[in-house]
Amino acid sequence: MKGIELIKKAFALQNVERVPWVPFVGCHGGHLINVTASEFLKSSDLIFKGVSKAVEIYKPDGIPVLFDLQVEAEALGCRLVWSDDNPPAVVSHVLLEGKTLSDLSVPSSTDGRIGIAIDAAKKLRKEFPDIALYGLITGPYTLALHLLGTDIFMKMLEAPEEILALLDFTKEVGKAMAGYYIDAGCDIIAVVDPMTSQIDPDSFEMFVHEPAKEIFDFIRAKGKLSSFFVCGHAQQNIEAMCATHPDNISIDENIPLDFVRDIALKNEISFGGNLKLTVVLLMGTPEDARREAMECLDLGGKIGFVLAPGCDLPKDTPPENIKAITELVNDEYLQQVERAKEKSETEIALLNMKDYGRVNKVIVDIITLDSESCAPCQYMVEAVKRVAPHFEGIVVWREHAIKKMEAVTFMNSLLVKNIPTICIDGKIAFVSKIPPQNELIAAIQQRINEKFKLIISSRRAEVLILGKNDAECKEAREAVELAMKETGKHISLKTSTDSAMKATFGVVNTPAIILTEHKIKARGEVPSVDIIKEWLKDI
Amino acid sequence: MSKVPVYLITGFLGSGKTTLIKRLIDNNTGTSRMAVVQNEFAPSNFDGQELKRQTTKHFDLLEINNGSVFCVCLLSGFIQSFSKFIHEVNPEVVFLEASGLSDPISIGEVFNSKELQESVFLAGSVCVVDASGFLKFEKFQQRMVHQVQIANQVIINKIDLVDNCEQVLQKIHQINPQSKKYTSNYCEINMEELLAITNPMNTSQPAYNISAEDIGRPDIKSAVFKTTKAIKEENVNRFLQAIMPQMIRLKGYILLDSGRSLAVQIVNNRLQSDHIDKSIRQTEIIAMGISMSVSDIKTAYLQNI
Repeated sequence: MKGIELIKKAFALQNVERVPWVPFVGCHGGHLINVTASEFLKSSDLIFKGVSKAVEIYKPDGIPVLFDLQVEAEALGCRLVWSDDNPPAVVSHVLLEGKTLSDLSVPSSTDGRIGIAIDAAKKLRKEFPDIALYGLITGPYTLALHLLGTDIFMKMLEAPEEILALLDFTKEVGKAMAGYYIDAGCDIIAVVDPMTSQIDPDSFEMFVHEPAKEIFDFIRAKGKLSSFFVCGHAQQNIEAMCATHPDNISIDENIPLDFVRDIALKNEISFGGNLKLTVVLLMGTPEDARREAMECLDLGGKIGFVLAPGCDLPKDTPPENIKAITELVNDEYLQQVERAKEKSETEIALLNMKDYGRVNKVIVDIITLDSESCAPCQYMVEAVKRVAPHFEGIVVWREHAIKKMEAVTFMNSLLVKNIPTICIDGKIAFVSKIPPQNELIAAIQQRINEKFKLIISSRRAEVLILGKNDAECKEAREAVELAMKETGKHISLKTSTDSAMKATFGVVNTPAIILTEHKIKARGEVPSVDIIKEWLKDI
Repeated sequence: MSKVPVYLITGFLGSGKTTLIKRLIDNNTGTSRMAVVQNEFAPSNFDGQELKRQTTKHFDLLEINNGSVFCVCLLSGFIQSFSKFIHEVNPEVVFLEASGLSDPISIGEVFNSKELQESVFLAGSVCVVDASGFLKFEKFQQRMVHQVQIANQVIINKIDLVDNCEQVLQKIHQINPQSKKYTSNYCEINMEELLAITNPMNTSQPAYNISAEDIGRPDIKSAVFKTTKAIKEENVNRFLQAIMPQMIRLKGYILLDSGRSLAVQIVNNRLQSDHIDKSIRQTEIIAMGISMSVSDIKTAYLQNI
């Protein structure tokens, strides 16, 4: 199904076969094409290139054209300070610099960088007709704060009518911006109003409700969908946000996803979020990102949920982390693996695998979800099955399906992170990818060679000859000594005519030759019972 | 290099954060290597440069000119600049002045990053409150409440401007029963006392007078843990006992399965917990300890839900 249709279905609160995925690529698009944030955000060509790259590697169902909440403020005369790694910051507030509200007019579609944004939207629309294109506009309250600065807080108390008038103006700017993006072909208009997280529901109701609702009504009248983005601790306002009638509410990690889910669905509004930006996506590993995404997917469910980061992706977010989420979203089976791993998270006692595989045979372990229900697992098991007979009994293989808890313990003990994985004698050999026959044979052969070296170097043995009398022993002794000479071995040799000794070995007929081999299996520690069992299987 | 304690100074716009930092610097007798980080464009006339002119003591200044930190998305740049700054000036103590609009927990979480874990730790948080404005703004300014919530100490400033600050004190006690509270004008309080509590090892000395060896143990770490998973009230103690041995200090709120919030604190191996009226809706813990990490806290927590 096309991304845009999937998102429309989610927005309409219909059950989806897979949760839609919208990575908020802002100046991170610049990172993908190796340009700075300021270069990126000032050029429609670079925005087009960066977002195209993101579409290529992240396979999203929807994506924003531009994530920059300073565009409108800049067009209205606020000064910006640019940064290489972040969106610009508003550093002057036009209403504190001698201008009044009546001096300001709604910007045209070419003022400031608005033209760049619209141009990029048109190009992206043409290139990607099947994904949902998000046009992001600065929310009325955040834009008001840009224009007036933090004086807005004092004035909300002291001169509320001024603030109402200001928000009436920023609402008009919002409607104009929404119109420009819609005309350029955007499917969804997101009203991004992070600063509303600063205020309480009553102030929200008084100052933000009407302007926001009018913008959403405007978008609906144009036949397009809308979303209300907020970031920061805005729990208190989720109900109030729903009351402005957007089609969707999107939040960041500061608000529990299940909390928003319950309120949004009760109000028959879809919702999205809230992958952790800094701690997981920026600083974490692909493994962390997958786990985080799984948690969101499970909390969000398949009705009305859009998986997205909490906010604009930090510029230098490692693309591997985002790709890991794309993989997870598109792969039901990976999700099952992730869930199985999650279950095991509350620390299980790991096995000490230091000595694992120190047996005569080569042990091939295949860690799977379950080869009967998962295709890649099945192929991997079959690959091993096909190769094992080549080694005529030297290779023992086992499947560990992690649907069982003991297999999860085994997997964690071997430090296996991905499914399916092949381990040879306890060492990870092939991860996820099914090895070609020759590679698998080579890997096993290499291990056999290593082991052979080990066996040679660690051999300690003793020959014991039991006989009725010295003459009988002598004959056997000479035969053994000759054999040693002719094979080049030197093994200590003992003879005994003691009948108690014969009884110990259960020897009735003499002469008897007994070969004893000693192998050191553990030094300076008591290995786990499981490991000792492995050794015992060899005897 | 031993790790550098960072004190987070929070407070709403105009409450007196920079004044407090000036006093912290002026009252310092222990070290010459202090640093101040400011993360907002101060439109007011009392910014970092002004601070430099007003104090006779030397300190290094880092201004993160990134506007107000709206949300977590702007914190990544901060990590890089901050980390570079620490390596360059090698301070013994850092006062980090948060923007009046920024979310203190998100800033705290930045200290979980590997890059910063190597060199600094979050040693405490002091919130400055404007006595004349708090009750007026408290109702609609949510962020201000949150800053009070996570503070170890709250300074109720500008008390001359009000007849009676009892009401403010009460309100702050409701929000954060475990914080140490001071009342002052121009942040004039007993700095030694403030710094004694702020001192991570809790000796009687001011924090930054301790030798680097004392507090700069190589494995002292801070961690911020957040989760929306609730915990059963009867398990809270077991959870805290499990992590206690590693803790120097811990402060936070625990979401109980009844929906209520419990304020918890560990100081000097002593555990304190208090029910609070308003639910915080999630668990938020700021911890400082020896050889511990967020995952230790997380594991212990998940085992006890």
